[in-house]
Amino acid sequence: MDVLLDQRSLILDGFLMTLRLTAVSGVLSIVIGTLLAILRVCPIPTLRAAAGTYVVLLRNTPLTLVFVLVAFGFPRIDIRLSFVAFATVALTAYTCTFVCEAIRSGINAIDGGEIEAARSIGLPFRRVMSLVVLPQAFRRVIPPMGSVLIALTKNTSIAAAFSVTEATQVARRLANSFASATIPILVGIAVGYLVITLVMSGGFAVLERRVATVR
Amino acid sequence: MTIALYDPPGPIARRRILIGSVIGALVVAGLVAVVVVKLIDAGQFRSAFWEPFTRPGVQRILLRGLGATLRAAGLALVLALALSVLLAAARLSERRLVRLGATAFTEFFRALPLLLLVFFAFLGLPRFGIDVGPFGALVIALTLYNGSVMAEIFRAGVAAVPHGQVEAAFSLGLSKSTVFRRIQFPQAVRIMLPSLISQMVVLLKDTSLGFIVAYEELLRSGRLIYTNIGNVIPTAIVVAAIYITINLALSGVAAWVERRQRRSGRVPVTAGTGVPTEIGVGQV
Repeated sequence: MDVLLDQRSLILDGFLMTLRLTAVSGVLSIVIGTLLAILRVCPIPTLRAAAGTYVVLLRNTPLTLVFVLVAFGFPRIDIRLSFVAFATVALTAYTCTFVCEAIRSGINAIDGGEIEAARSIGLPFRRVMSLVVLPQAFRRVIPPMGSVLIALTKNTSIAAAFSVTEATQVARRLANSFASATIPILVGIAVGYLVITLVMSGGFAVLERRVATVR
Repeated sequence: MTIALYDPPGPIARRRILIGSVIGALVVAGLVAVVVVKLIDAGQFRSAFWEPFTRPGVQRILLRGLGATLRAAGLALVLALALSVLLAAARLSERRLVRLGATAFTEFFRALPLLLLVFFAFLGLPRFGIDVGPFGALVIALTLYNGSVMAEIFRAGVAAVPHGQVEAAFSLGLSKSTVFRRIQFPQAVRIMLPSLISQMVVLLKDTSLGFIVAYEELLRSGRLIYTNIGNVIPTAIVVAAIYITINLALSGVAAWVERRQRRSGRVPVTAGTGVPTEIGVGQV
């Protein structure tokens, strides 16, 4: 237990990095994922197909492989960024496809009458999406979006293997340096993750109730 | 989607869509071209980087890696299924303590990063004198995580079995365990089969964490190749193609099972459509 207290600044920094990766990739994923979802339902076939292809390819590739391609592949084509930036790119490229699919299922779940009504008063696609479909879709996708973002939080741990000092890498380092305290260290880090994921799921539950509309 | 988001295009809209398509195609082609030019400039298409994949030796490394991936995924799948049935049954138990224990177990293992679970098994278990090695660590972690996720799928499946079925079974005088075994469980399996197969895609993708703990699975075999030849990008593309092919095949099976069920009409429709969306979310 002493190790956890002695190394608390290292552990805290690790979790701060975990949160930073989650926050930055989360925001980027939501923005790009929403754009992808719009492309996937838009009237222009080439854009639909391109967005669809990207989503299918990335969803079916293991995240670790995406990390390998970004962290080890990008320097080969002279794209040199920090390890944290590489991790953010890999996490965003992967997570935005799941955000896209969550939003798309939200769009598909919207009452057809709403869309027909919007079209019948002459709104073009852009307005149908921005005024009628997306505001409702965002509400509906809060629970699945919460799951995607919690999964993202857990997925940031893979950055540990790609030179980013976040919580899981701290756990591994400490476990290597203080072998006799391996179990307390791992349990301590696990508790940290539990706190983060539980707070997130609680927050999303509150948010869901807040924006819920009476139907 | 049953209702279109836009009106059937008239002549003007058709022309606009055509223009949009052309511009869209140009933008997409431009993006692809930038990437390709960048790859060519960096010499990523030179034959020395791609020719190795025609060599039997290199192909054998990849095949051995694929075998190791499938072995870990297969064993973890069987164990996770067994664990999930136990957990699902425990969560439906009449004893509060058993129910709470199973709930805590599933919530705990679903809330932790899989990699941390792998480290628990890889670094933690040896402290108790149990050395499981990278393969064991990977399988244990995959089993605990996927067992918990699948237990939730099972629970949703059991909950989706029409209640009249259970009432009818009880009224025939069947015991609770028989009702679960003979009535709820078989129907639940049918309902959740698509979600279960989708979860297999997740499990298969997650075996790539073996890369991090030096288990020679497919991605780690790719590492063996690119550290020797220096062709990270071509190797990553080849390995990704293998993963994508297998996962698309699995997703295809899931979609086929779902279609077949909907046609046969023997699975409650509300359940058949309700379960996958709820579970599909966990597939990150």
